[in-house]
Amino acid sequence: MDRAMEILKGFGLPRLIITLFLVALFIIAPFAGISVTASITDVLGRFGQNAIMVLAMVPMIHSGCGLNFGLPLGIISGLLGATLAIETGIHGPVSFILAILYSTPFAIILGWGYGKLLNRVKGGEMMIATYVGFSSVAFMSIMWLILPYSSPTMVWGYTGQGLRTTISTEGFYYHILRDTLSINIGHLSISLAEILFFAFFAFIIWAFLHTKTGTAMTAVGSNPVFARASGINIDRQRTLSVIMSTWLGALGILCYQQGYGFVQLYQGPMYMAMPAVSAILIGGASVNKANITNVIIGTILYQGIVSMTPSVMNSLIHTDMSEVLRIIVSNGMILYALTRKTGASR
Amino acid sequence: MKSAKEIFDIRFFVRLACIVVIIALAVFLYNFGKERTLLVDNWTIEINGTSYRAEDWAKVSVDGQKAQEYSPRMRISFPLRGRTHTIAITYDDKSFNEIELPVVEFKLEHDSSLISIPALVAGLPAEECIQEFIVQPAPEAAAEENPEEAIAEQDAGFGDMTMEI
Amino acid sequence: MRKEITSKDVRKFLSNNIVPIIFIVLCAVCIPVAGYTGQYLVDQIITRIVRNSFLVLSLLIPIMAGMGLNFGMTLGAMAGQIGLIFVTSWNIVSIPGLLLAAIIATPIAVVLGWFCGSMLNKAKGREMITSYMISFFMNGVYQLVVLYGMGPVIPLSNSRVILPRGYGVRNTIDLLSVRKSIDNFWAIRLFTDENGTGGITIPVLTFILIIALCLVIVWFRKTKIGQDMRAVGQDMEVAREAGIKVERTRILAIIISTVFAAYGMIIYLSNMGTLNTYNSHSQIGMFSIAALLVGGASVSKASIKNVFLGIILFHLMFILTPQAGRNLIGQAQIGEFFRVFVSYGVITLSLVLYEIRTRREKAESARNLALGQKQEEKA
Repeated sequence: MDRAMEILKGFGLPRLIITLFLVALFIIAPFAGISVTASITDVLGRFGQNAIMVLAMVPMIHSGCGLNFGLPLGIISGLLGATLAIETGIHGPVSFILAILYSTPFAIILGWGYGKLLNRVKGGEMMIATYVGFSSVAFMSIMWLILPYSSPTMVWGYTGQGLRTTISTEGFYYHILRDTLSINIGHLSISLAEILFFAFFAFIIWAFLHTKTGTAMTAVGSNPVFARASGINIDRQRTLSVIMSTWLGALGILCYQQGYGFVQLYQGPMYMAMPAVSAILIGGASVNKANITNVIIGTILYQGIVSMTPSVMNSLIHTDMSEVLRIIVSNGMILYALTRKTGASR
Repeated sequence: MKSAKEIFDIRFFVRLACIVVIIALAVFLYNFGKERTLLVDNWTIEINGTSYRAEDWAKVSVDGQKAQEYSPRMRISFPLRGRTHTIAITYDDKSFNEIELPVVEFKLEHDSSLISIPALVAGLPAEECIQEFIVQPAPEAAAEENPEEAIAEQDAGFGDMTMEI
Repeated sequence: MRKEITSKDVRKFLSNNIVPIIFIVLCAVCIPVAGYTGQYLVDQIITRIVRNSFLVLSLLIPIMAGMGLNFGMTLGAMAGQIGLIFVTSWNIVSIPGLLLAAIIATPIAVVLGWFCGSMLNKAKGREMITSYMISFFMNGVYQLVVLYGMGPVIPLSNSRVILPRGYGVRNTIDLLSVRKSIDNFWAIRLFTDENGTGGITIPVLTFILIIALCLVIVWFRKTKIGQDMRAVGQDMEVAREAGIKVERTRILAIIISTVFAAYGMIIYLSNMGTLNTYNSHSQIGMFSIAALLVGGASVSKASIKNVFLGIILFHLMFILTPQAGRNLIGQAQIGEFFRVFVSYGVITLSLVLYEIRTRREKAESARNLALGQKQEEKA
């Protein structure tokens, strides 16, 4: 009994409520006339779209930089890659690889600068990260208007200047992963490529965290004094983690775009950090502890709620409260993580 | 445990008094500041089975404001603040003598009320001359607004940057 | 003896006031480009001061208590909006309406402030990000109440406020019944043209209110509880040893701030004349904080002087940039994006500078301590 309580405590009450809520949704769904298999397809699709952005939280949490509220910076590198790839005009799967290649240098440079900045503000990372994200989104909004892009798929038709707010990835890398290696069993369709793509990067991160550098990074996050004593260059480890997070953010948004079908510019990336942050927290991470399992569980739970609540609610009470519920649940989860006594002083 | 004496000390009463005063103020403000619509009406009207014919000519002043002249089938609305108001009516009798009715004081109970001039002229008590006036909502021409969409948009970050402050 | 001004002093002055200096330069560049008349700008700035200063002033007390920038002031703004929704629905007009809105908003703001304060006590050292998340979280709760609660649960029925479907508040509410009632109660108009339009309008009563709040804040600093707050802001542990109830003092600071923010929001919206039910509050915290920081305040230090300088500079920039963008590049949108970038950028810059300064001071005091110990050993 005590052990059960212990496990329950470790699991955390909010997480338990969310899990039960999701299970309840799946149980109610057939009675509300919603096909369970279609729901599962939807949840898995969203999982494939979003999981890498959630994965982008992991390196920074490990090195003690806290939750990466500065994810928009990574997203912006991804957007730069995406727009450049479309600008070159090469269609098909190659464009996806190009987008990844183009976004990488941006992610490394931006991540490096962002990491250097965060090294100078130890202790206040999360707040500053939030505002670094916001300012970079606002700055890039100006840039999207004045950068000399010329591809007719992206530029406003009537002025010939400035990028559109949303750009379709149709013809470039739309569903490039979603439709490859997909398994169809009745209405259930699982996109293996998307999941493998995530699994590949999740494995790389997992393996990295078990290398010498990776353990050093974890040491920096969990016990900086000890790390310093054993001769680890703290600032370098932190910068490295930030670069990794930023790059994963860039990859994440590209993966998101191929599933969603649109590149969202301007204010699009503004609040994209929040769902990722709350997903990893729902998955059981805390401000200074996270692993790949947290990412997987968290993304499934979060996306499950996001996709299931509207349809079930709508068919049951004809009122779409889902958006409001989502705001309360996801932000409440972040708040819960921030106010837990067990979190480090950061 | 706090003893009863500690709980019911002078501070407690001062605070209680403050709260009571504020609630009283709120009630006062509610009554004093509430704006109700009064329609002053010169139509033929039937009250309790008796019919009162519209006046041919009347001059009406509400709360001592500038008087308005009425012909039959006329109706003017006044936004009035507070509950108690007065109405002064001057009318023509059959032999065209202007007669000034003594000022009538009345209370507004509803958001929107209708007071009948002929009934007042006939000398009915003010309460019987006032009826609630139920406004028929105009059919919404524009498509129904949808706050849910606004929220979703706001969360996506749109509409952020062009805000006027 | 006259004090020599060394290059070090200049550098220190520059680094301490970098944000206001950037803004002064920015405004100086934009004024001729935008090409507005001086009279128009002065009138606009007076309007902005009237609208925003109460809100910005509400940020001062948590800073005094060492809790940083209170992003949770949004909670107060929500309370103020709920008060206004009630008053508009009941059709209470003019100044009584605003007063009643304030009375309704006060208990809501106190409860929200208490919630925020207790949460922040659980997140010492990261108050700002936590208060920021609280404002997001509470935004959801606010939407739940306003969108689904008002109508069936909270009995409101006025069609000016409630949607035709019977529940939920409209996206925008016209506050015509209370609009500018404080401002127009006693307004002085200067330099009007022959039609009686244009010129500069000075709403005296609102200014009296703002000055009164400033005096209250000045007085509050000197009271026992104000002193306690400063002690808590200096060092929580020392304050606790001195017998100050740290947690209670911190909660109180947030409650006061939230209540003032609620009043500030009521003044702000009554001046604006329309309430965007689902939007008005969400940005107000960010803009108020940016204005305060532009005035030269930091996360740990802010004064009334910063408030007014900040509002003038920040809003001058806000008025100028779209027009400047239009005149310079032919696109007003660039100016709009630019001012948002500047508001976010200012907050980022101030936060970074503050963190760097705190770390430097810490390192310096540690070095001094070590030095002192060495000297003691020698002696």
